[in-house]
Amino acid sequence: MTSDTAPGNAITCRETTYIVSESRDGPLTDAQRERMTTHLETCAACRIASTQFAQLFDQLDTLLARKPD
Amino acid sequence: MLSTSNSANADALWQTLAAERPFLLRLARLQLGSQADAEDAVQETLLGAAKGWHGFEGRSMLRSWLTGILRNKIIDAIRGRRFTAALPDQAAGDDDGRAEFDALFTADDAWHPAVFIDTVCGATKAAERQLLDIVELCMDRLPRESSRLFLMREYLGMELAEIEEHSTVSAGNLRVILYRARMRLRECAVRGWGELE
Repeated sequence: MTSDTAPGNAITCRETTYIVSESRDGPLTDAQRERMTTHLETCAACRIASTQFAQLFDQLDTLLARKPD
Repeated sequence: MLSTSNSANADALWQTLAAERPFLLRLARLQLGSQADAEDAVQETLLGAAKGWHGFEGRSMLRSWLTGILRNKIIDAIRGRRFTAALPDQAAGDDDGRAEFDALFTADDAWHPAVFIDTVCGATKAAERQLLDIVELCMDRLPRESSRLFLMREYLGMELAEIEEHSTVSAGNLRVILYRARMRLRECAVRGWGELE
């Protein structure tokens, strides 16, 4: 499992899920962010999945008291 | 001593706090392993909350407030140990985390249109409690050791290096375990959101 594809390379939907997961554990590199953005521009399913993950993480933050008051 | 004006109020306050006890106990037991240690941590949390009740401003939900108090007690306990023994289901598996989710993707690793669930969470604030129940239910379905490591990251906020230090999992396996947990949670949550519609 890796999201460290070569710079400039297009990524797959599965690879975007690796990057989404990694984004919870630390800042993404510029290259990861760029590849992700480029992919999302052309992939409707990943835009939806990305929104779903964001909503899930937001609910986790509430449930586990990770949100500042 | 509870800082309420009479014993009836004190009883009501204690009942309110104790209603959150099962959730707190599940979190504590998962992280601390020992039932006795978990009971102690939760009891200290509830007593501390009763004492500091006037500090609860109601901006967050009661459960969130208590969960935050408990977090510090668990972190202190974990940091006082060298490492926590791994449980049998710890192994991330021999693959790199790909195989479990193969059915979600096509041969080209695009989302498979036949199984992709496109439900997004459009619920209103009124349904917040239901949404949190869905997440809680989905977390309960994670394998125990995955859940413990996942919550060390997501609940306790420990960095990956510190989790590795306090467990026997390798860096690579930890990343796979976290990835799997998040993917499983998404699959479970989006199905739950669909039920709400």
